[in-house]
Amino acid sequence: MPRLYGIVMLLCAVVQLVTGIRQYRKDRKTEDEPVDSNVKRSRLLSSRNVALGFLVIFLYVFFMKSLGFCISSTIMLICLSNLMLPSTVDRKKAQPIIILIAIVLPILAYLFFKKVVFMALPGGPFLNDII
Amino acid sequence: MLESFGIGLQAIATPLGILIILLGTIVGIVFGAVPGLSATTAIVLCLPLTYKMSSINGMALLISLFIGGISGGLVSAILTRIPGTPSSVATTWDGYPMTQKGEGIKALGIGIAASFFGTIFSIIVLIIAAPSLARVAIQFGAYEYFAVAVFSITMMASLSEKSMSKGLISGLLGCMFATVGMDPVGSTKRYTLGIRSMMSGFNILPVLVGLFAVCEIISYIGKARDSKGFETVEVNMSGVKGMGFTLREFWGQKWNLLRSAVIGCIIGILPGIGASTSNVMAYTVAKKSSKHPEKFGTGIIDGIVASEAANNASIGGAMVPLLALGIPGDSVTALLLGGLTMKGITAGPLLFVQNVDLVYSIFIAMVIASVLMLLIEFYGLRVFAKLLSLPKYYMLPVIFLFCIIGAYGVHNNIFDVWTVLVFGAVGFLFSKLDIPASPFILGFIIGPLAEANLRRGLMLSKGSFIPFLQSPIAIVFFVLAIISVAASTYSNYRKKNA
Amino acid sequence: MKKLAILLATMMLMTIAFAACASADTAWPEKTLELLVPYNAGGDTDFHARKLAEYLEPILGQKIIITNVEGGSGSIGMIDVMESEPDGYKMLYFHESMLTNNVVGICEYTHNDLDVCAASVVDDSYVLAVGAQTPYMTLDDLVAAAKESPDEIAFAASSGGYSYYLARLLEETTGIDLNVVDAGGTGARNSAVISGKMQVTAHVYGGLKAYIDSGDLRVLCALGEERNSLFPDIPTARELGYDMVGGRAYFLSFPKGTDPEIISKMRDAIEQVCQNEQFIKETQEAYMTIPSFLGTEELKARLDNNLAFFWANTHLLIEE
Repeated sequence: MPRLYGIVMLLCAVVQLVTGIRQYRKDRKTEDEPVDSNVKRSRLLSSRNVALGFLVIFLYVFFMKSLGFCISSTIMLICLSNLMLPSTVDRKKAQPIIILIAIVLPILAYLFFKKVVFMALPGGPFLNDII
Repeated sequence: MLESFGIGLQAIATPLGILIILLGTIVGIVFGAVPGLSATTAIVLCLPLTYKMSSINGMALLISLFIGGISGGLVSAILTRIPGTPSSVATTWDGYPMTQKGEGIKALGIGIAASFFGTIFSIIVLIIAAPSLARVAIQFGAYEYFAVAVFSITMMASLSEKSMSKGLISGLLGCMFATVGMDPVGSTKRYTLGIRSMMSGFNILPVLVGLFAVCEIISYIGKARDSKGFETVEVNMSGVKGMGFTLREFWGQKWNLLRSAVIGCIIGILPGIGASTSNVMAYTVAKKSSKHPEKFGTGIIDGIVASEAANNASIGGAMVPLLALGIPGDSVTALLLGGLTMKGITAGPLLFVQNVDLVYSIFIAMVIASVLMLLIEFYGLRVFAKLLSLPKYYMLPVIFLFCIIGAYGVHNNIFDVWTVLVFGAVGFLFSKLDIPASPFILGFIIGPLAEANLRRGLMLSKGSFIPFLQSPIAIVFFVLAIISVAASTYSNYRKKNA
Repeated sequence: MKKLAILLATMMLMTIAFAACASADTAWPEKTLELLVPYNAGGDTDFHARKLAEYLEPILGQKIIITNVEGGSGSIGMIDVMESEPDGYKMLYFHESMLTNNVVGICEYTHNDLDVCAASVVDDSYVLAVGAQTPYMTLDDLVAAAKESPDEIAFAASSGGYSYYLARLLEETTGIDLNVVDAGGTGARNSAVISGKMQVTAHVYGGLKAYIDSGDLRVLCALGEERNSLFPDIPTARELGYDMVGGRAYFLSFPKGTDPEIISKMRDAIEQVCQNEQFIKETQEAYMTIPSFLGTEELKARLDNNLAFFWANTHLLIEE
């Protein structure tokens, strides 16, 4: 019975996919913009940043258990915040605040969740025995 | 009855009791507002705390967490387009556009007012009619639930009118992803790929977080370089008095409010479906019955009102079967039931008789919590706005941090955090392909409901579909489903040939 | 003189060494312990675990924190403990669904992959109940009606769960054919019978008490070996002529390879708790069941027995 159900859903999905693709093609055809090199370069950088963003999050999750919540969160916060900095903001000036938040917040959160509500986030190599 | 209120009032209106309700509501709102943390999370974490308290205080704490939690979801939904809890998904549809127009405060204000209305409405219903309503609720068996699920699916399909097929793909994908895990009827493992943690499937919270929050973050990264105006969420504080909306605007919503609260109540009363579903249903119904349906999604208060009134009304609704019959209406009330049992209190038909003080103190606690919620959120409005005026490159990663905490907290398992990543990718794909993410969530929630009840119904009827059509309740919903499909096809047809 | 000094020094060293060894065994626990419950907070397993922990703390002299790791019908939490360090500081509190999980195919591990310690509760307060609107006043009525119309009377169960097993056991013992239907979780099963959509169900007395007292459900028989002292008016199935017994042990386990001294110490501690009057009273009040202690050997024997029984009777657990 589950198999039948799965097949039906799959069929529906395929049909929808086809109609969806058709629709998509139709929409794409109406899109046309002359793109100048500046915008193109910016777009490329943005795409690179997006990919980096994914990578950061992936590594964050991957290392969370081994490095522990605090360390991996700090790294993640620093990376993501930097990736999100608009080009208008002075990168150097923003760093100290970013780093400060990135270090303090995970520790506060970790302590709050461990002590107040007894939810233990991954401790990592050292934290488990200290706190 | 008045006497019972007196007893209840005495039991709960102690300084400690009020303090507990206050703290509970605040914590609930915070948990609700932060995407990744939800009312359920708050209650799971605080449940052990209640073991040391008296049963009345314990229940008061849990119920205030519930009320605050469900309501708090609107904050981030409106201001960041990330729903704070699954019950505020529909609030993002009109809430965020309003923020983009600079009307964020108004959206918050009316959302809070609607939440309050919904809660109070459902509490009144609860107090007046709980036992009889509960008896009706249990008449909903597999056949009836299946019919309700079918109806919900048709509603969800009609939501994405930009492209029906895209919406359907999204919804179907949601259903399919929901099948991962153990078969609800029978215990076969599906798509678990031999990974142990996949056995319980994907949990709605990390899915929601991934789909909405990660997606939002990644898209923002994509836009960040060229953005100047994107830096902060523009919230126009000047010239805003009171809650941000006028009395006339509020009064203009009266039918919407009432209708959405009723929908929320009904869905809440039915065990198995709750606030996560009711907010979307109410929104859809509001849209369909509105004189200006095309305005929905552009940033009008109707959408917010419908969503928030319904999701809070589901709270009182969910308490109906719990208090009247000891049957939990949703995951939160299941935890509440556990809390009661720990104290040696048998929740069941005799609860009203044997534990009058408890029942009525719960009612009163609910009312107090609702009022407190209103006040806290009202005064907090400006704080929320200030918080969100911080640059996004600080706020979003921090929000993400809490999302991850919430995701991890679901099962204390890193798997749920991976789920966030996976669905973040899915969400990103969706946004690139212009596929709406919301039907996915609906499919994810309703899909299993539909399937489990279809199969249970068939088990009961031994393979025959006839009993499905013999149940009066089921017939009602099937008819509604057909009407809904007919109506949207008709209006689509008219639009195309207009 | 030198020789004497060396002899004395050696003796001292040996004494210290012995003392250290001895205290290493009985020094446990020296820090906070973790008891893992493979279900969410608020359920019966969670309750029994917390109650046990509450009374163990003063005996062991250390704090015990409870962690809930839900999923896979309890198997995820179980495997979590299985893979932990066997240092005696992480324990599992689970029940005999561990066995049914294995037979039904949810989990490839059994109690043999852990070091079981002791059971604190053996819940034999299962009863068979029918809706108040049904015409069956006794178990015989039900059996007779089922024989007249096979596969008609609906039994509300949860697939792969204990209720399902009891349903099939009932069918086999009495030789009847019921329509055993998955009705969802406990709440849904109860609703189904109260509302009349289905007719029979089985559950622990405590779980049905609310509806029995309100008159929505009628208990036909108890499934213990003897009459339960908490509800002595209900006859057992055995008394009525049907050899059918149900019961579930809730027990504590350590990861495999834990020091036997630790296991033994915990076993004794649990035995002490089970004799504590307050503990008995509170368990009774909440779940209408009396704690009953099973030591390591008896527990293991019981689990081995039951596992073998389930494997020999898979048709009682799995839908075919």
